[in-house]
Amino acid sequence: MPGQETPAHAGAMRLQVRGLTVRFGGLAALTDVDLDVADGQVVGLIGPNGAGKTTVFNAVCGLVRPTAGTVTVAGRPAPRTPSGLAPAGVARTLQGLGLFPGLTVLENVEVGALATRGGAHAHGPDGPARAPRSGAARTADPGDARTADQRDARTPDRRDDTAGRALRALADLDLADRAALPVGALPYPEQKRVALARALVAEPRLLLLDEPAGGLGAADIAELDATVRRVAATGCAVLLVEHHVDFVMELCDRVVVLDFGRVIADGRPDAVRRDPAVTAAYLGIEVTAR
Amino acid sequence: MNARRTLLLAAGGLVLAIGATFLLDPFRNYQLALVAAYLCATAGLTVLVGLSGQLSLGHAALMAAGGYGYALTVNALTGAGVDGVGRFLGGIVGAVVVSGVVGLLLGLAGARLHGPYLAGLTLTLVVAVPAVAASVPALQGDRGVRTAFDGVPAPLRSLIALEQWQAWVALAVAAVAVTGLVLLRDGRAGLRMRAVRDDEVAAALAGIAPARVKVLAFVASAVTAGLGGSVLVFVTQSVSPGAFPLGLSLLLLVAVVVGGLGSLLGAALGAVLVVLLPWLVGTVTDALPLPDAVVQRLDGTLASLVFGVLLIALVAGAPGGLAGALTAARARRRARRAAGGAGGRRRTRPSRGGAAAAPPTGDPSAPARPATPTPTPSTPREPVRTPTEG
Repeated sequence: MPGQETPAHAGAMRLQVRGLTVRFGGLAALTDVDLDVADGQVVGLIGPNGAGKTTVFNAVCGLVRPTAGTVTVAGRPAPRTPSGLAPAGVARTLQGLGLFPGLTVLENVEVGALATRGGAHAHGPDGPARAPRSGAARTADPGDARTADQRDARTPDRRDDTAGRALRALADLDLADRAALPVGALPYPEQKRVALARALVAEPRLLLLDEPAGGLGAADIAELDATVRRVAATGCAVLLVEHHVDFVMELCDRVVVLDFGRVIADGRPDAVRRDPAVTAAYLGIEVTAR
Repeated sequence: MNARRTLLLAAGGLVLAIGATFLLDPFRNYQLALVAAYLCATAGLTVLVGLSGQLSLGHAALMAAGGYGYALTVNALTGAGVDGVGRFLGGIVGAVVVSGVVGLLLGLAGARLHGPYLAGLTLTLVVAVPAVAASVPALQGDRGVRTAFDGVPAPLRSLIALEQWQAWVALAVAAVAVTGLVLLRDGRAGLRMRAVRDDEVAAALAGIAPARVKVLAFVASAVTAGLGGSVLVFVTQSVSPGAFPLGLSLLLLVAVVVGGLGSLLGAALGAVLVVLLPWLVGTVTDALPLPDAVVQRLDGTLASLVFGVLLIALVAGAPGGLAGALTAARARRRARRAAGGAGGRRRTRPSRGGAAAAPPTGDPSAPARPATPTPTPSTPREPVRTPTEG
């Protein structure tokens, strides 16, 4: 069962999916999917094309109505409409880019800042609850110090304007000097980072990343890896869908494998790697090649 | 974002524009009043289409709604013994309420419709409104509603002519309408509108309720169009179904595209074209040695032809419209100066809007000047030609 493999250090349960079933007409896109993501945890959702990964995201985001099952965010039912997500502390990036091509880089990120006030209290009583990470390596991450600074800087400043928050989010991802450019003028990896900045500027407690590494090169992926670790270190729960298996296995605390709309494996990356069902369904060549 | 600066600019622009009316003869002031009236409508339309991405072919109907709202309220107030400023402001409130309600209903429907379906709905409205207005007894059929005459206030009577006074009032209303739209565009609402226009799903995931944003855009656009309609009624003292035909709706849209979609400067240029182009074309055909029959035939239709050719030429050559072309030229000049000067230090400064941002102005007459094509010899007193005729 999901949850059993949850590392002991993880915080409160942020996302709980129980018995999620989605049917499109006669086609069962998802059948009885269970999924947990705890605060501070990074969970990878993988599976072959058409396994239903993005449908899980869409059901969590209110873009698809579940046929059966429940989705709860921080113990409360997930918002029924996508526009309720940001106030509930959930941010999502879209497969591809999902940017606003008619807006500048800064404006794109500002849009993400509109829904929340900024400051750690934006998402209600559970906002300040930060799960301490285990592992000295993560606490020593240089990003952690920066995040602490940022938190201190913004807590008293609750009327902070959206542009200022957006600029800071851009600076965090080394995009500050791109702020005034039309977003289409940036190379693809930087556009990907703008999309990530737009999600992060809302200071989410649950971050859903749909193929964040898609189309990125090795250096960009390493940078993305560091960014996700940094975000998780602040106590944010991260769920990501990704085809890039090495990236997922390296980064994630837990990996959930979907095949034909069912969960066929759920556990630590090394356990999932060795799981014969996974090997058969999806990872076969990748794993035996090692 | 800087609301105070916008308000100061608007006030300054209005004072300048009012000063400029002293340089114009009465007919030019009459035309200026019409430009201000159409500016209200084109400014609202450019915000709706350019910023929120909703196409309306029915803005003449929204002008009509405002016009009837104004006329009926003014007549009711006249009956109650109110006159002067109170009556005018009451009429404006009537225009805002009626056009706002029509805009709200349209917006609520529009939030569920996309692209051609919304355009179809607004097209239906603009066809239906004159027909309905003509058959409702309270609106007095095809003859329309006449309103009481608002003359120049007594203290100013020795100073200015009626047309100049009307231009002042029209400019003041347009300044309020355009300033409101500038504040909307530069604020969070404007950013939300552009986000929804570009990608509704991504906007919703960022916490924006697309339907609410679209309805807000429609109401704002309808109210400003209604203000434009009320100014027309104030100037002509009457409102009738024939004054707001389908042709006017399309002309407003063409004006907005020619001016530059999403740009308020473009909306001002478009409003100038709506008023001046038919008159210019008429002046030219009158001056040419043509047989009377030909002149009569060209009257009205030639202006449409010129508008059409202008539209095609601009969309092909400068898709950003007149305002876009101006901005591009300015950017080129600045780039050339920067390349020649200070050692190519590249420093990007965050600025809003980009090409779509017109300098906030409540002054329709200032941009009007450069847009007025070659000065033509004209007689000041000639039959008044408004674009709604013919």
